[in-house]
Amino acid sequence: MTGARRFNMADAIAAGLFAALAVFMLVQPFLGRETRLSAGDPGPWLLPSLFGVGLLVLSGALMLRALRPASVSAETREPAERVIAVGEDDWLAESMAEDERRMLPRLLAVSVLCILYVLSFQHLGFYLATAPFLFLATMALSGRTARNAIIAAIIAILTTAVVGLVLTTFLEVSLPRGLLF
Amino acid sequence: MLDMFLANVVWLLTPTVLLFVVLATLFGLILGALPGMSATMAIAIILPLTFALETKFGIALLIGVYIGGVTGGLVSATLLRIPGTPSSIATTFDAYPLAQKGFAQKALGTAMVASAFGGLISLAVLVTFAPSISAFAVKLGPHEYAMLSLGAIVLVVFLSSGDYIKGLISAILGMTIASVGFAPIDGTARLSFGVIDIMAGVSLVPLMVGLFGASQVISGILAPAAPTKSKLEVSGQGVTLSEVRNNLGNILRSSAIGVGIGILPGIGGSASNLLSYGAAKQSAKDPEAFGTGDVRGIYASETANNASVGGALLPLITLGIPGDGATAILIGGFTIHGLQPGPLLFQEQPDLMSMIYAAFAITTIALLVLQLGTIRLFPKVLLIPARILNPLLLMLMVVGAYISDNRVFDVWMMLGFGVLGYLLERFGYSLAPLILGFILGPIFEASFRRAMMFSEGNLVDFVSRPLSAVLLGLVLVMLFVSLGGIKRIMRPRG
Repeated sequence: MTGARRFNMADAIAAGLFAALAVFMLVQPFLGRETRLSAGDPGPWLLPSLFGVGLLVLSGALMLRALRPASVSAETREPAERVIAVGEDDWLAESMAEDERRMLPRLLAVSVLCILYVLSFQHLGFYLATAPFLFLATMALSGRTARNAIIAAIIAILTTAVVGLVLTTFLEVSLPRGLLF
Repeated sequence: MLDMFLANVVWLLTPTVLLFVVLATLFGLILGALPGMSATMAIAIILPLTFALETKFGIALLIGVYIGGVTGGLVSATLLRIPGTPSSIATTFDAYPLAQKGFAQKALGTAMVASAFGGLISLAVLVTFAPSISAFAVKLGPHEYAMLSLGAIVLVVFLSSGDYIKGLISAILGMTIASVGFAPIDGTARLSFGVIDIMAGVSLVPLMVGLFGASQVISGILAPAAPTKSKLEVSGQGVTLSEVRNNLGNILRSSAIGVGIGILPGIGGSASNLLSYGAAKQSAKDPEAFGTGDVRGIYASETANNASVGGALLPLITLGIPGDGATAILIGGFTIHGLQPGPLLFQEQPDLMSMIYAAFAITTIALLVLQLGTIRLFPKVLLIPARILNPLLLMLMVVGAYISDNRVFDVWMMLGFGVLGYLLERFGYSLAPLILGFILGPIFEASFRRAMMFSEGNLVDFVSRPLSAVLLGLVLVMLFVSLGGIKRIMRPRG
């Protein structure tokens, strides 16, 4: 059962990105200022250049490995046949991947909320920015029920108050004050 | 040193300090207990919150979080058969069956007592051997230091990464990130492109919090752990003195394995628990009893993983060389707090040195009291849903990254590193070599340049100095074996 053969696209893309970074690193010494403190000093650019060379060699190796075809017989077989051939764990892995796709919109929602939180953190201050962020982020990850909303609101308010108090009063950390003060 | 140690113990026992040390330990314990979280993540989150504190206070909290995080894994390993951390994999073998038989209290209690034994024995080893290793390390020159730091990075790639090519790429990425900013020794500006915020280099806190914290939150949101159906009821008989007495040999052997493995960069507790479990099983007259709920298995695993903490601290304190992600963050935290781990620590900062010992001892004992005192209550933390925990952790990370330097730029950088860390882990790149590269890269570079200036550019000195030659040989052998992975390029995957 040899089946079809495919390339490892993720590794190939990563190898391309790392190679680009390596070339970028190798070009830098020609653009930067060279300082040598004494006769034996290799200067500040030797190691970044060596890192560039190393990265180039390794990304070449990664690319070569990615381009070697691999058997994908397991993926191309019928599901029932796969259960017998590869066992239960692969099924679990696949269902997890499906779960991840399902959770992607929630991750995006939390990401947007987090960006808004960071943008508003300094202007609104810790308390005014944190409580809504916690409430909305918890809601974005929970089912939208009245019970969840109440729990999220309580947690958001309590956590903001406790964390703010501990940081400012006990740990003497300076937090952004924003509009409140 | 003893008077300083005792003075620090007394200071740590003052109510306010003790309260915060216990809270920090509890935080580490909770994140260690929750599957998907880790001690590394706990230290990364707590680190910036300690900046405003007095140096000793900050160091004590970091040690507390570290030890709490390593220990926390035993709870979910015992009750759910899910090791909270890799250090508790072997704990599941016997603690879970014992709990299932109705002896959850005994299983948890045994694991807690064993953890305390492992921690205290490894502390004794640390206190005994650290001064002599430091005295030896003072004699090391830049050639040896360059090879030592390079050796540690390669060893971590070799031991912690299944895919050597990706492990090496990860290490080089770490060293490249560390190259940003002013070069060591001459201060030449590199790779900062005129961006003022990174001219002094990429800050430690956003990098660590992002790589080890934010990336885990992304994973946690995308693949939340299934909520436990278990009621997590803890009942049954507790630990008996005769069991402790019968396991003294097991405890000592497991501690020795834990300390020994902990010293080696890259493996630590994740391997020591399995090795000592294997050793205990092999030396038993009735090995078939292991795996069915035998307390000897729990003693072996939990003693060894906590003994690895002292082992890992040994090279960190005496040589300034961290062995894994958690100790790399710890060394970064120590440095920010003004403690310079390395051979001169004993001579220049004996008070802080003894504070590490004192915090280690107090935390280990406090942890035991805390765990035994909440043996029926604490396991309920496993019921905290990820949908509540992840936003809380994210908020703490944002606040932590911000207050580390009062710059919003650091928060953006932290989030960026979070995405990078998630993608790297997702595609099989271990993060431990990256963080080791970031921490040790500048040490390697500075030592290498000093060595070259000292030798007037003569590379032969790296092989004519015995220790440097041995370390270089070790690095080359590991690289040779690692790059044996390239042979696999010639074979089809699959």
